[in-house]
Amino acid sequence: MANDSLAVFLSIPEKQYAIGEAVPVTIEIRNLSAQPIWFVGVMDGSEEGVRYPKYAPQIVGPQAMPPAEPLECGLVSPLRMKDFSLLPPGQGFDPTIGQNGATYFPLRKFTEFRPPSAGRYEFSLTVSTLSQQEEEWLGWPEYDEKAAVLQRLTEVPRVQLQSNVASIEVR
Amino acid sequence: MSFDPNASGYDLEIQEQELDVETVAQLQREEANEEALADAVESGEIAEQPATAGPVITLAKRKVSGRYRGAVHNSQLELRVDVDGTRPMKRISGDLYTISGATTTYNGSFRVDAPTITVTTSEVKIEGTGSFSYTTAFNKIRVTLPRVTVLQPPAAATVRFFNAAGAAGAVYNCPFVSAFFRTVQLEQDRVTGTTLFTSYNTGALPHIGAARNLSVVSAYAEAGIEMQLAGVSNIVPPAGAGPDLKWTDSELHNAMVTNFSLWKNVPQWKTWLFLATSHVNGYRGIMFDYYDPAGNQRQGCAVFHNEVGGTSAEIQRAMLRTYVHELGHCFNLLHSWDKGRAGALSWMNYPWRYAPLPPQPGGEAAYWAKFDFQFDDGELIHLRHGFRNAVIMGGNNWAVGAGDNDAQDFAEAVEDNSGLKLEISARNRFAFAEPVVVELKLSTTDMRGKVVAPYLHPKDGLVRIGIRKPNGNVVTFRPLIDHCVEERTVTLDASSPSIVDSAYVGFGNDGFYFDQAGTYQVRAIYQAMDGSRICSNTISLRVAHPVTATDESVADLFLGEEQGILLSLLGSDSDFLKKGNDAFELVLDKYAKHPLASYAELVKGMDASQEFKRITPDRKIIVREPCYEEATRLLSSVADGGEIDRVTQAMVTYRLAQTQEAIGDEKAAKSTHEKAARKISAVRGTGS
Repeated sequence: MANDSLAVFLSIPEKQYAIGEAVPVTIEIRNLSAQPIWFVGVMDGSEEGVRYPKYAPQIVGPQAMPPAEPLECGLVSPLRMKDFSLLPPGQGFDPTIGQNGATYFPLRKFTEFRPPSAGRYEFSLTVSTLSQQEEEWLGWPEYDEKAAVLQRLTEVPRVQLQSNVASIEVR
Repeated sequence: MSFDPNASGYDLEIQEQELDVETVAQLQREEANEEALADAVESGEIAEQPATAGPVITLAKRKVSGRYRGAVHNSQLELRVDVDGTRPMKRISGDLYTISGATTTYNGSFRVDAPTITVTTSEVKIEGTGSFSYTTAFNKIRVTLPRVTVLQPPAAATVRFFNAAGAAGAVYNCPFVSAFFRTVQLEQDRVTGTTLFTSYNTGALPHIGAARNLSVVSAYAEAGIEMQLAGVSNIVPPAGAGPDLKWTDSELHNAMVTNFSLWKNVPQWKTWLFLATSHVNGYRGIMFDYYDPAGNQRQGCAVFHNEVGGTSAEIQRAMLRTYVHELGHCFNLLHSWDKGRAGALSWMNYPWRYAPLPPQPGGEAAYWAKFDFQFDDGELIHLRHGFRNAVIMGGNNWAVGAGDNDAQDFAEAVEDNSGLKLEISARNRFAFAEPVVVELKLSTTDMRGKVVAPYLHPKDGLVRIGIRKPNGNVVTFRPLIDHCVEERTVTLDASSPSIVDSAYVGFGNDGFYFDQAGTYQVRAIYQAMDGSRICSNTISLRVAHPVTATDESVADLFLGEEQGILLSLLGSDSDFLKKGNDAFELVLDKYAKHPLASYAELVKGMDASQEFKRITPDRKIIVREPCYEEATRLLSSVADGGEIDRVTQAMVTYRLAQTQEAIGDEKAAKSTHEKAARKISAVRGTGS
């Protein structure tokens, strides 16, 4: 759920849902350290794992889940300065809801999920910033903010976060 | 007024109705009246009145929207009129070309975003102030179009330019060319075993708007863009994707270069759609031609059969969307959310990402329920009226908008029958703050001989250098000093096929041109004696980040204005450049082994090799005599150094020979002369 400085939490408001009902999953990434931390929410292509930060949602149910939808288009959005969120000590943010101009994406696996059958379902999320190269964050090879973004990226912690498991019963 | 095709603020709602020009003009008057009325009501001048609709007169007149073309002397105007028909954007725009000798070159574009449209029974008049991609005082435009019936051929448009005082500028008579605003040739290739999409009936699934059969061609036709299927439709073996049979972007690019029969690394209204099997990242589609800084981008896209293929109505609908979407990127259209329009009902949005303002529902179901298979208004304006290089495939780099004043210095010759070839070359990597020097070579391709003016340095005025910076902005190198050259000619023929020169283009009237790390593109244009504009190849060079603290310190010592001037002048004793000379002295004292120290030696050595005259305040001339021994020491190092370009090395070697001669070392001078001759022959490619 956490490393020393950051943690990711999932929460679902109800314990029980009906077949076919949407399951609202709330996500929070929280700064556990005593210093402010820059972090980036879900970007275009983050869920599909083609760029950093990577956000990998998982749902485990009584039956095998359908395969993930392919990414629509390979021209994923550029990472811009406004996409960095500053987390004060002790505070968190929802990485799927962009504030102050950030263009964050919903996690499609969660938002489009409708339980197909009765049983227990477990939701979890893995977040990774462990890129080999900073270019893996950018989206586009060249754009006007690139130099500033690369500089800001040096301030983003390189971590892999595993969330708690949030479970529901479907009847 | 500047135009950003990706800016937010365009109406997201789409007008479905086909409009005649009277209705557009009437609506424009009504809008103006409503605004005036609202102002009056708000200010309390009048009480609010119930709205009344004015009558709309419908005449069997031919629509005036479309593309027109005409020329005055050597200037050709392609005009686009967009004031009636389907979804009129109430704009006019145009591209200007110069026909010079045997070449046709793009010069710039303009657009009038909010013209006044006046309609009489005999004439349509459209006028307003334009935004231009270049500087002009004649920025007011009036277009008049005689009204003709649908039974008569389309009439020509007359275009008049005026300045702010109302003085008349150029007048163009532009006959009608097409009802389409732009025409693009589309070549489609596919991998063995895949089937290209043909069409989808929009009535096959519930949706808004009229049901019709839509293909890629007809979808673009609805936007006013003519897509002509062209070229050779190849069936590509899957081996091009490598052993894994999944395509990477570079494999796709290679497939394009190999199979796109219309491909050239120049801007052209031609695009390639490739139906491949799978992408290594599992995409449905991609405009893969976005990363090569040395290439002309946005020429090709791919759709992946394994992800989009199928026969159900849902799949066919999604397939059509993917095809049109990826081709939209070739026109330099961004995703809707990247333009701040996540609620756009557009080809460029993702259905599941559709996010109108609350409380309207978003997501895939809402998108398909409301989407009428169209671009949004902002995208239509870009497609129809974007400045040419911001739209044309191979024009501006991906996502780079239009409006650069100097962008025409990256314009290619549409046709070139001049018999001359201009080549530009440079190292492909420069250290941060390293002086960027390019080599220029002008050759004849007509071995019967071509007479040319032998001046290739930009300071002589015949060659212009365009520099596209890492952020996509294009600037023209402006030398510190312009030289007036004598009227001299040489003949390039089989015995002497080329001339060469080099130019330091790192610093000019605008300061430093390569002042940030990143990839630059550089191109040159030579003005030939018959008026032809000879465009060079485009080179790509990378300016690296400083790696060490020493690199940073040396860079600081080079990136001063006085140092830039000294590099441009190849040395000076001027008191006004003392700080620059001190910086170079410091480089030689403290960082003599650093690779950039060669340039300090060059500047100091060239300065030392010649006398320098200064005029005192009391108008006496003081001559500092050449310091031959110092010059010999410094230039010997440069002449054999590896950092400096070949032409400069040859020039320095000649100068070294002269200094050796001056100090009486005739044996060394003779040897050095021979070495210089070999160097310059090697550059010319003429052997020893």
